[in-house]
Amino acid sequence: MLSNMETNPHVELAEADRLARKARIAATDYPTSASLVLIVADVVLIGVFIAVGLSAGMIVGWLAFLAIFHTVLRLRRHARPRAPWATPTSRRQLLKTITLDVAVNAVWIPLFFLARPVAIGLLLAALAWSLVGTLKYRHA
Amino acid sequence: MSVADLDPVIHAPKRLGAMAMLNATEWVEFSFLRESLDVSDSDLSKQMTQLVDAGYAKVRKSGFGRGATTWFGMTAAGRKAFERHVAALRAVVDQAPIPD
Repeated sequence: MLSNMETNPHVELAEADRLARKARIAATDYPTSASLVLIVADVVLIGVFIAVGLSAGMIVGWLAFLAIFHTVLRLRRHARPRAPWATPTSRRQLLKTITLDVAVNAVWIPLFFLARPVAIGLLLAALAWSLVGTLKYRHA
Repeated sequence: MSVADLDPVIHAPKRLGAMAMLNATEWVEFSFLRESLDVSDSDLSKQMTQLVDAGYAKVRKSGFGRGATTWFGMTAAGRKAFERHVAALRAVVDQAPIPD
């Protein structure tokens, strides 16, 4: 492949794009196992929350779990991502993510106080959707 | 943009591949670069030294002893040079017929 690139700019560009995509995925993608761990942890968190309600210990435990999870994930990666505001494309993606998060929570938080079973049901449905997506991605 | 805008430091296929990976990330591990580019340790070291010497790449090490890992990142000058080189390459492609 590399020897062909010397004389063929089409192949050079295609190979550069492939390698860039590979590096980007290595820097940002969640391995299937990590996605499953996060989904299981979310379900456990929801279960504990339903059983005993919100407590300081639960918040500290969750934050400690997230810190360990992301540290392990970061240490296992072979590439580190660029800052989300580093390029126009990533800035647009960041803005889209924040807008979506704000919009979803603007609906979900009032639901949580006004119709808790519906809010919890939606959360579990979102997690099930995420689980299906994770497993489908693994088999793709 | 024309052939004259192609950067001789980046133009070598292995270095172009390495630059594409560095441009897509903040830091890339030496071993990941080596496997992705399908080159030997010494070859990659040689290619990366040229990029570092040209001011296009930067290097840092993490860990100690046998667990030490070498990471490469791209400098601001490297990003500009890479974008210019890729734009010139695309201009060449646009002017050239698609190969069989």
